[in-house]
Parts: sequence; structure tokens; C-alpha cells
Amino acid sequence: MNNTETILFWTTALLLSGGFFLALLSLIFGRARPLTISQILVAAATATLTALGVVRWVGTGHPPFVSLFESMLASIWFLLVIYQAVRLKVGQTVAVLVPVSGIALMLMGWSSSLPQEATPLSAALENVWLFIHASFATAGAAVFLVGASYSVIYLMGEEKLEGLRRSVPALPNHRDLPGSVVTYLLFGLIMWGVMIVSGSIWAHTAWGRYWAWDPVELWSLLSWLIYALIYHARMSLRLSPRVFCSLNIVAVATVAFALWGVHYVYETIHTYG
Amino acid sequence: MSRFGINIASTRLAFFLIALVVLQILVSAVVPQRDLAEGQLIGWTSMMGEDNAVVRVLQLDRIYYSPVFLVSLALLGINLLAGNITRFRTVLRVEGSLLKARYLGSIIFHLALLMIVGGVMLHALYRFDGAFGMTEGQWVRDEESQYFHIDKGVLNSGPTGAFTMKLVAVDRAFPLKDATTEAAVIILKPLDGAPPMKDRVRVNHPFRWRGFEFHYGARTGYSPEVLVLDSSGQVEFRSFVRLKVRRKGAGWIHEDFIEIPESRTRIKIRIDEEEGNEFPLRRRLTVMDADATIFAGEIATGDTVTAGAIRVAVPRLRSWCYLHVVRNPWLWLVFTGFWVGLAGLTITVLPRVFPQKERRS
Repeated sequence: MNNTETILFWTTALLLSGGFFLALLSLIFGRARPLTISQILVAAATATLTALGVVRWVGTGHPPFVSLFESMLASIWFLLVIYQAVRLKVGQTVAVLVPVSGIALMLMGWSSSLPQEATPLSAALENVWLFIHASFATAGAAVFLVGASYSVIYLMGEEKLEGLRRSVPALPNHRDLPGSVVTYLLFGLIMWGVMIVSGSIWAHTAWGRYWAWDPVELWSLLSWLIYALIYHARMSLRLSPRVFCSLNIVAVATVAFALWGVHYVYETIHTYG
Repeated sequence: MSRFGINIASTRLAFFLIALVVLQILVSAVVPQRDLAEGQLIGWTSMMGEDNAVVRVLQLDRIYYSPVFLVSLALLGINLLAGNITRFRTVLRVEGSLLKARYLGSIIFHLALLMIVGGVMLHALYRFDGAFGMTEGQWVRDEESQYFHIDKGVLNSGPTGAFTMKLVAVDRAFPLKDATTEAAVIILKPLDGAPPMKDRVRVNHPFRWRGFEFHYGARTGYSPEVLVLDSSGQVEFRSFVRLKVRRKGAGWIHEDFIEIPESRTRIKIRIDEEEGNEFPLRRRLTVMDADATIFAGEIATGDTVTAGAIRVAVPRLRSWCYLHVVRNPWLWLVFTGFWVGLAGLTITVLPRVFPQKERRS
């Protein structure tokens, strides 16, 4: 990274740290004011991360999805943008501020340990489908992560959440949370589905075959099917909201593995860069 | 409900069938998979796990070809169809109309899944993927004997004899925006009298013609012309030899043996190529008479070396590559199913994004 990118990266990390810890303290001690400051810090982090993406894009000449480092930053960006978008539309997002900012901070930390130099586009990546495939992959992961955040809040328990609502009225009703989880699950299925579809079409153009059970393809499909399974289980087996939310958290681990973990374990034609 | 107490249209059955498919795919993620025909490990699938008696007996290394997997998919297809018909009839009876996003979207999505499953099965039955290994200047014909390898569905009749094709040149450094890539210039000559076509094929840019797709393959190598003269100057052997390619560090090794017919002479030729260096760095020649090495040394293009009673020369050096000829007559069904399914999912989710306001009485 150049100096501008480095400054923007660490500014984002600092803002996210502040936002996360203030939100956490606010929920622990039941105070509303730190939450407001936390919201501002997270919004600022979204802006600096956006600037980082723009600077990177201008510098490399291609969308910042090519390396593992860029892919992870893109996921963090989508996570924060989705959070801001839902906050503007729905309003009641403070409940997930702690897990969303915490996950974003954790991913920032992980990305700081990855090689950060800009890599040129290889021949296989010079295709318009890169933008569609990679953006829906990272956006889909972000949507699933937001859903998992709602699940985490639900699993805190009704008593604890209702207790916090007395001092932080902006927090949602406990019984409304599973419905939010379902919404994010369905949105995630769409986005992850677009990722799989666009990847198949691109693979056919690039390699002459639309599906070859490559480990990344396999785990992407698996995570999509697991979410479909959880959704059908909720309907047909009448899962309790507690079990449903727990399964949702387990399922997001498969998404994270498909996106960032497969390369550590398997040989795959899906190489970053 | 059937007499066995199983509702073929039920969501509960769908759950169990999806779970069965997920379990099988999970197994394939940890057990190396093999292709059906030759039992070779499929290079792009899992490289984890060990081959053992349990794997062999249960055929866990051929999950995607196993009867259990195919039956699971078939049952899932039946469940999808039955479930949608039931839902269709129930919604019409209760609501009077299908035009509510929640129902319409769900029905469209599940019917699209049927299109995908059907398309995948038809594609598997009728697909064709043939690979030519071609040296620059070589012509090939769309005939079974000319292909290096053919992988086709059981209902595909094989090569149709529709064309001949020439590899004009392999460009090892075709310029792109940020990098270079390999590209093949080909001439395709239809055998029905239509005019020949010339095009450049590279990754992300296949050549399409009448349902055929011509894709650049994954390997490019060197093909030296090897000339062997006996002691009287008569030509014993003259041919371009496609050398096998393997990685070595940041570079490549191109190497192969030639056996001269009716003699005990074996010639090994090896070219070491450093990454980023488009000109072969070192060319080594080893000539053996039975098991005895009678010459080992470096040789440049145009040179002649004497090895015992024979002379060996490498007059020319060309490149070779794989070109894949692909036919996927039912792939359009799979891709259409993809987009229709996504549209159905989107319609299902719309009421959550734009909830309808309650009507006042």
C-alpha cells in the first residue's frame, strides 16, 4: 500500500475500534449516549474505507477484488454499507452495532496480516464478470454476517435485551429478531446465488466448463445449500428461534470458509490475483 | 398423502433430501474424487483425505456418479414438482390468485430449480469436450482418432466430422491491460464448403461457431523438430515432438523421450524455461543406446551433434498447445434456470422490503 492507503487503512481501523468498544460499553453499562458516538465513528469508518477503496481502484486501474486482502476489505465495506443503509431505512440497528463493528474490526485485523501489495490483473481475471462475481460474493458474505449479528443479539436472551431496552429504547423487541434473521438469510441467498451463477457463466467462458467441483465452487454451493436447509428446517420442523439463530451462526462460518479459508486448505484453480 | 405415510410434496421431505445432498457433497469435500471412466483423480476437486477400504467399498470417491446422489437429485426434483403443484392448487383455492409476491416468487424459484436440475442432467448426458494437442502448423480433423482426449456424455455420439482446424501460431505474450497471456491463432475450415474462418483464441475469449466452442487449453509447451540421421546420412527419424511440461520452481521443464523405431536408440530432449523469459534458456540432449548414454550435452537450434553412429539435429523449434472443442447443447437451460430462480427469490423477498400497508375497512 502507498502512504495514503496506509493512513486510510489505519484510520478506519482506529475508528472501528472506537466504535466497537463504545458500543460494547454502552450495552454493558446500559447507557444510550456512547451508542450515538459509536454510530458516528462507524459511519466515519465507512467513509474512510470507501476512500481507501477509491484510492486503491484508481491506483491499480481495476476494481479492488483481486487479492485476498482486497477481497476482505471489500467484505468489510459491504458489511458497513449494508449496516448504514438499513440504519437509514429501518432505524433500529443499534442492536447489531456491536457484532457488526466487532466482526469488521476482526476482519481488519486479519487483513493487516495479509500481503497488501497491489497485484495486476491476470488474463483469467480480465473480464467484466470479475466485478459482478466478486462484488456479489463479498456483498453476500456481508449480508450473511449481518444476519448472524442479529442471531447473536437474539441469543443474548430476552431478559437481558429487555433490560437494556429500558435505558436504550432504540433496541428492538426480542421477538422481532428472528424475522430480521430470516430477511437477511433470504437476501443472502439471492446475493450468494448471483455469485454462484455469475461464477458459472464466467467459468464457462474462461475455461470451457461451467462447474468442475473445484473446492471454492463446492464450498460456495455447500454454504448456499446449508442456508436453504436451515430455512426449510425452520418451516418444516418448526425450529425454535433459538435453534434457528444458532444454526445461522454456524452457517456463516461456512460462508467465511468458502470466501477466505479454502485457499489455506485446498489446491484450487480459484487463485486470488 | 401416500399409503406409506410419506407426502411426496412436503417441505419436510425437501428438508431431508437437501440434507442428504449436503451430506454427500460434504463427503466429497474431504475424500478425493475420481472420474468415472478412468478412475483418475479429478484435479480440481478435493485433494484431502486418504484412499482406503471404506472409501472404495462405499464408492465415496465417485460421489457425483453414485446412484445415491443421482437418486437424491431425482427425488428432490419430484418433490419440487409435486410441492409446487400442491402449492399452486392450494393458493388458487384459498387466495383466488397466484399474483401475490410471496407465492408467485416461491413457485417461480422452485420451478427454476427444476429447470436447473433438468438442465444439469441433460447437459451431463449430451455434453462433449474434446482436447486436441496441436503443434504450430498442424492440421487436425474432427475425428475421434485425432483427439488427444474426449470426455462426453453417454448420449453424445462423439465427433461429427464437421471441420478441420489448423493451429497457425501460439502467441506466448499476447498483451493485455496489466499482463500478457497466451493465445492461439487458428483457422477453422468447415467441411460443408463454407468459407474458412481465422480467429485468435485465449482465456476468456473462446471462438464460437455453430454450437461449437473452441477454448484455449491449460498447457502450452515446446515442440522441437528432431532429426536423426544414420551413419550414411539417411533420415531415420524426423518429426516435431511435443514435450511434456511440468513446473519447476518459478519456471518450467519441457521434456520427453523419443524411441527410434527398429533400433535401441532413445533420445531424451529437455528444455528449461525460466518464468518471464520467452526464449528457452537451456536445451539438453541425451542419447542412449539401450541403457548406455552415448551423448549428453546442450544443443542449439540448427546445431547437429554426433552420438555414436548417428547424428541428431534440432532444426526448428515450435510451440504446442491444447485446444478444447466443447459442445453444450443444454447449457442454456441451466443458465436460464439460474436467472429465473434468482428472479423468483427476489420476488419472494420484495414484500419484506416493501411491506404492503393494511387496508382500512
